[in-house]
Amino acid sequence: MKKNEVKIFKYGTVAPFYGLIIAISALPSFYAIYTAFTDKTLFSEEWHFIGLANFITAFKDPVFWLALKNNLFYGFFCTFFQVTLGLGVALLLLKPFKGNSIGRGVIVFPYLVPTIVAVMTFKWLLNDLYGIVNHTLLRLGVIEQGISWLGPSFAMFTVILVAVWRYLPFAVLLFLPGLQAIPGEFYDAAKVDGANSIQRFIHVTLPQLKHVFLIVALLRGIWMFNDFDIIWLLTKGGPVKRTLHIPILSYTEAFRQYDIAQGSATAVAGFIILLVPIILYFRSTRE
Amino acid sequence: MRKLIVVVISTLLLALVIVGDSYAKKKELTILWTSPFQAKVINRMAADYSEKFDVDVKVDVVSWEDVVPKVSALKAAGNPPDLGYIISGQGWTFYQNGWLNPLTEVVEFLGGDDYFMPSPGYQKVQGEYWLIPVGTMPLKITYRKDLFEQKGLKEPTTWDDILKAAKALTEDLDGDGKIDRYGISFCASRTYCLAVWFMSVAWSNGGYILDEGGNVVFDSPETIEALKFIKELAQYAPPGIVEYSWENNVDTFAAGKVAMTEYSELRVIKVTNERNPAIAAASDVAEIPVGPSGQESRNRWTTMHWMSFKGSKNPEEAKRFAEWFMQPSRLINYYHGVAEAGSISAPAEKLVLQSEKLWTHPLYQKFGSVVKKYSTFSKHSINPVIEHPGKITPVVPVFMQDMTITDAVQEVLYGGASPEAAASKAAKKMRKYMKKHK
Repeated sequence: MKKNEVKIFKYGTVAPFYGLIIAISALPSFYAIYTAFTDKTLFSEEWHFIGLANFITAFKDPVFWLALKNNLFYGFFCTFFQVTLGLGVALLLLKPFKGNSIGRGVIVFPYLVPTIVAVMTFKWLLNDLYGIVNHTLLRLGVIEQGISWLGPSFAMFTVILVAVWRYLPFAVLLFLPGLQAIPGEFYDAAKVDGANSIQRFIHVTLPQLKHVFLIVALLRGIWMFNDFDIIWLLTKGGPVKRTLHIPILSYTEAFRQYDIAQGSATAVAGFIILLVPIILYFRSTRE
Repeated sequence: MRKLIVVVISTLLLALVIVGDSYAKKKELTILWTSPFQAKVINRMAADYSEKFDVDVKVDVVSWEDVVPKVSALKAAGNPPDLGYIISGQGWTFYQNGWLNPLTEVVEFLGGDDYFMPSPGYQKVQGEYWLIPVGTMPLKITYRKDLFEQKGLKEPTTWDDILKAAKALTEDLDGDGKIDRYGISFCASRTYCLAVWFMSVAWSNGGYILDEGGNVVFDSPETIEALKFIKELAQYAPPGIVEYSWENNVDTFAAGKVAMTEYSELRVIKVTNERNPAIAAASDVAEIPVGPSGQESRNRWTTMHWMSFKGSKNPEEAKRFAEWFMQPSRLINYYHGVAEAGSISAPAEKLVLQSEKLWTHPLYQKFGSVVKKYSTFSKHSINPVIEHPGKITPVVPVFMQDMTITDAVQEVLYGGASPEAAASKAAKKMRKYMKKHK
């Protein structure tokens, strides 16, 4: 095969995959960014370039900033609890005990359940009149009247709880092989040096898991900042906008107000703002 | 030479297959169906139609929330559905944007004005019928007649009546100091459901979203009164109504946990009959109560409508299907099918209501008086997209579905805002939207 033919063969074989990636990922993203600069509605047959007008509207709207604040809160705490609890559960499952393999199987269960099923189950568990949670608390005398778990005081807590329950297995599944890959000799050496279990965890386990941490935190962070379905199915951003975040605000503008351009601008603005901590995080962990 | 012969023969065979396939292909009719409860029924009817007329009927079931994005995507791809079975607000939005074909021919085939009972969804615009309603679904109150009688209460017709009844029927039944049954349940979650309930209450007090001139008047004294009323009524509702949507209203009523609830359709009765027949038998329906500043009861009216989309492949076949579907005997089969599937429908077609066959179904037999009573409620209905007679205002359903109204009510119920401040904030948002989308 001549050199040129090799080149053609190489590029020819990967071209379809690049084409596919561009078609299903890059093009829609660029189209959304482009739409943010227009006055397109869901019904428009023609539309015009209007510069930054939609972004200015978004930034002037206090609801946008409230949604962003809620977004950061939800994203941060979901990621934090998934990572910390995920590591904790993985450490527990690392220890040999009776029923360990069953435990490893069961832990994956929330991740296999479709979101709608998980949400409906939680809605029933937390129902004010017949939910088992309120029923138990009432029977134990902890509360006088059923608590509205999706009311203004608890809504954010509840959506975070459901999201953590649902996605915890992902973190566990990544931490578990990471922990198994740490050579036992490291722990033996630490023991010889007189390190107790906490010191071994801090000085051996954590540094060895750094890369897994990075991957879990980054992926879960990105997914939780963009998570739509759990909040939409549980509260639709309510009550009193307590759980309203950028994806729901963007969806409402695009598909309830039919203002697809404003919805795109909100999503793009949110994305750009969220990009800053992600870049900073990448830079800080580059080494 | 041999190669050439092989290529020519292969090409000819391929052409034959393509031509033969398109020749053998049946005519296709696509229907966008937005009533998931009734999917089984329409699929059965589509199969009947396919068999009888040799037309391949494809039914695409989508949630009402996805209708506008779905149709706009299909339209952008040059392939809108032939027929839609869609709620009125979205139908009139499509009309306003010039996306619909007239269906006057179908209405005339059915018998013109004599076919339907007077209904806010059945009307000519620009000399044509664009939407064909099926049945009627005004919002109403379902209440426990037995409990009302026990307490010496009459059917609630005013705000005072309903407050008095809700208070009297919120009770600790077993003496343990905890409330076992609440007076009323209503949607208070951040959903369309709350906007529909609230606007029915506001309209019954003379409060509107727009005035006749198309100006936003959501901050009128009548609407503010309605916000105050809802807040007062919430005292007698379960603590979790903040997460309630229509299905929660059905569940709590069927479980005997509330004495009244609000819902469109007769699904509350149907489900209660399955879970608690004694309660269903002792239940009745009432119109939305009238407020102190209101003249008469008003309710949000909607129902499913047939509509034909411009640019679709088979608009003529779409008309034939609508004619076939809407014939009384077939429509009765449809209503019976729906009664099995999810709800007891209230027909709005004169011939259907007059037909003895409709009342042969066990559910229509058992709840005949309720169905007949409920069917008359549409005389007091407001179709949100025609808030004032004679003018199509698709922006009203937008405000009802984009959470503007829902947020205003929630601010009053749970956010500590005064009704005046919440109404003013919502009205300001509406004006801003209208300015942007003139």
